[in-house]
Amino acid sequence: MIILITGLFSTLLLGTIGMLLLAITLIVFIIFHQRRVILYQLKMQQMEAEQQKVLLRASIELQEEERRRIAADLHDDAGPLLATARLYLSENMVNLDKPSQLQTIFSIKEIIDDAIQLIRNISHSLMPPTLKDFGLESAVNDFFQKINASGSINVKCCFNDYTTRLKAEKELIIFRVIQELINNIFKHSNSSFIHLTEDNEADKIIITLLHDGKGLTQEDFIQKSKSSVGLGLKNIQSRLKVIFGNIYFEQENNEFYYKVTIEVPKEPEEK
Amino acid sequence: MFYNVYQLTETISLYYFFYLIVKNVSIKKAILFLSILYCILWALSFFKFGNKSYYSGCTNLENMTILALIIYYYYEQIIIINSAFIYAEATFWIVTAYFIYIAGTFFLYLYMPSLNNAEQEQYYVLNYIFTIIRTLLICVALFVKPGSNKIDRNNLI
Repeated sequence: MIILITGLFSTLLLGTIGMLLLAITLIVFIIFHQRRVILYQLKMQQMEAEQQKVLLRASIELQEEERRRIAADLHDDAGPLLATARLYLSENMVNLDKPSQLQTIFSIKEIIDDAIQLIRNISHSLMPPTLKDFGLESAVNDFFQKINASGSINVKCCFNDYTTRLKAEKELIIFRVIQELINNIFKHSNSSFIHLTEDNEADKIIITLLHDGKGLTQEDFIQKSKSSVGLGLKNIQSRLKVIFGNIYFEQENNEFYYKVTIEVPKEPEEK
Repeated sequence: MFYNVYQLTETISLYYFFYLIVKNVSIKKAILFLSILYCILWALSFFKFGNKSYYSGCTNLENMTILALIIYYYYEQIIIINSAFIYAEATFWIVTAYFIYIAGTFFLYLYMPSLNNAEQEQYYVLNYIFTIIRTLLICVALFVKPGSNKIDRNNLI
């Protein structure tokens, strides 16, 4: 009987201790696992928030830069033109002889024409009229023609089946991104040609920019978008984020060309 | 008799508690089914053994099912990411209280039918110890403020 009790006691004791240890291990594991997952998520969210802040800052900086440029254009170009016109008008024109009066009026007209042209240029740089009236394809063609006219670089664009226009704000964003990319290629890559192609897929449009200069790879892009430099790239990123677009930088297999691919999803009415 | 009625009430309350905290609809349905099954088993035991006997079948069913539900609750806590740490919720402490209690008394209730009255008296001290632990852990649950230690994700941005 004693042996039986001892046997029963030890089984009970060992079983209870075993079950308790198992339970405690499970509870501790769950607490630590859940804590680790939450902390990891928190860290990821903080990183995402940081990235958002960087993009927002880049966007604000770019806006400020744009404002400074417009202010400088107005102050340095339009201001003196209008001041000169005012100076002509301040002269005692009544006492002048007829030919001098006509000469003065002609000069004032020329100055005012220049001022109108200047303001038109500023307006066009803010919102290209071709983009608004004829769409992305025409705007890019127009933009590329102007670059070609300068003779410094050979640029070519080819739109395949761009029959249904995207929404106006989407087109503007894509156009700005293309402008920024071309601007970057001019500034940093030392390319001799740029070739842009547009392909229409069922649910997205793909724009590819190919150039023969010194370009970026995806790793460079990620690195630059995380660092404090590369305002233009951050701006591209933040613009594309608005339209849920993606951008990829890569070097072609022959290591001679660099390729930038922009993918923008279409909305149901754009298909 | 009193203990058996207490056991029925406790088990049904626990099933209801798990019905409220578990998120999976299939498991909720399973809990409803278990409640009915438990009631039937309890009624059968009542008619078979009368009111002076200890219903070991009911106890074993209760222990097994509550243990399974506890483990499922923990599993849900792992797969569904909450906004607060698990130990900051009262439900966690209640579930843990029952988990420790069931784990501690599992073997005791398993051997109970094979023990005579003297042995039952001798080993029943284990039940008292784990009941005290369970009550203490439930007290912790009462002191946990709802929503404390909640991570406000909106403040991150």
